[in-house]
Amino acid sequence: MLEFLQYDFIIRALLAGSILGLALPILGLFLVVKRYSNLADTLSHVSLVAVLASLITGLAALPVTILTTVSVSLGIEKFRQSQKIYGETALAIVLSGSLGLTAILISATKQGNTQLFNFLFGGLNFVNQTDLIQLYIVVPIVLFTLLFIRKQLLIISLDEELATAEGLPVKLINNLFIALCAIVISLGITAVGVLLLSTLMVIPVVSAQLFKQGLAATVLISTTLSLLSIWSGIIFSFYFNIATGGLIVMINLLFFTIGIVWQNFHK
Amino acid sequence: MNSSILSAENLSFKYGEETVLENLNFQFIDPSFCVLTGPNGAGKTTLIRIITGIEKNYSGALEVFGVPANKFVNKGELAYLPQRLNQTSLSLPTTVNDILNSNLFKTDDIEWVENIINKLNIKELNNKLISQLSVGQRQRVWLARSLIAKPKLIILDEPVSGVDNINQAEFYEILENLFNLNISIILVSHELEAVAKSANLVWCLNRKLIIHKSIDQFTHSNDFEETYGKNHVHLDHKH
Repeated sequence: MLEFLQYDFIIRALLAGSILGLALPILGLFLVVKRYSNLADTLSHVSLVAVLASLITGLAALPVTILTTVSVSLGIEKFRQSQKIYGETALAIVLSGSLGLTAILISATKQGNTQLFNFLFGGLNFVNQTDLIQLYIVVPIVLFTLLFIRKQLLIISLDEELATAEGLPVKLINNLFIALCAIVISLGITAVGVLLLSTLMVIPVVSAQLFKQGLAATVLISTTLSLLSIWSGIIFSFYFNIATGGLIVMINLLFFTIGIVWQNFHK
Repeated sequence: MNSSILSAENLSFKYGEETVLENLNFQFIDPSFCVLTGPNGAGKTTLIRIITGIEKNYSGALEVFGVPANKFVNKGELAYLPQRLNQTSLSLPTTVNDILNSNLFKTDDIEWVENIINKLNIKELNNKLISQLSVGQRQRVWLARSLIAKPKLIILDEPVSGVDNINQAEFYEILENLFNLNISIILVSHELEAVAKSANLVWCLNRKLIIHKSIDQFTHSNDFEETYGKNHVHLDHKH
């Protein structure tokens, strides 16, 4: 019954999926609190552009992707802070730009369709040793940093002006947080692809919110849902031979639907 | 004691071409209970945003705890309750505990924190979501949070708007108690009568600032008529 565990690629998929499945909803929770969840989608597409560009130029993918995504994320944050343009509007502009660039780069690249499909819809089964090592070194550092700034980040996410009045380093913490998101997204793009990055940062959090709990319980519920969706997605896609990424998204939507039904029975 | 917490010299603020505050001069002595009043759009919130360091582009001089307001770093001595807090965070997964926790790193004095939680009567709300509370309860939670760091001055921007009468009275009583603990208060409010007993300073702001020593003095002055119009009915307070 557990024959899937005989395959190294499944083990690697489960390991990569687990650490991202843990980190993405936790980062996503603060994005949802900030009413800024579109950031996940936009930064994923920026990462995609950077990965494609590094494939064409032959530069090392990870440094190029992290550098690009972090710089763009800080640029978006600067726009938002200047209050000359709404955060959501800045995200929409960058999203259009990165999709446009993606189209151009795809037409210029000689990469096969499979690799492209993986970057877009998830290639968990193609995660290699190097991806895994990078994930397990960087993501714990990101989560530890987040743990360290969580209280300040909460109050900044709830009300930036109050946080400013209370003497918190609002700009610094906002920039740090958005850079942490950009780093995890850059690492995740080759492993889980654009679709899963934005899904796992938002849907498990929104599903967990339906249970109307506090921060700690919401973190627990959302990461549990996220991990369950990834594990079951990988296993079912192995047995039924369907796209892992797509299946994981559908499982997350199933959890959300169950949450809505549960909520209606507990009114 | 009796030190000057705020002092302004020719403090002015322009929003584009429009002058919002014009040559304000004042000393705010510790401890004081000040009601900041004036018509809508008179610059009350702007003045508070300058004092709290949110708005830095003012002209003239303003010192907050002896430091220029645009360089002041708040270590907890100044607490602020913005008006909007009641509307924020309604759909968010935050309990009363989460809100209080977000300020707990500023103090080691657990006894003081427990004291606040008891005095403000929010102990039994601990595990409730902010969205499940009434407006009055929510306001008490935010006030408790702001008191955790033992502030010397607390600024409240129309804290009881949307709160029913009984809870308003309760809230004002809490403010009186805080003032008795030597915590200075700046309360932005139109409801002068409710705090007539405790307030010992009235700032009437309408681009310019006029200072009165008591609410009685203010309501019987020409400034009151000029601020609120001649048809305003006086409700005299019996002591």
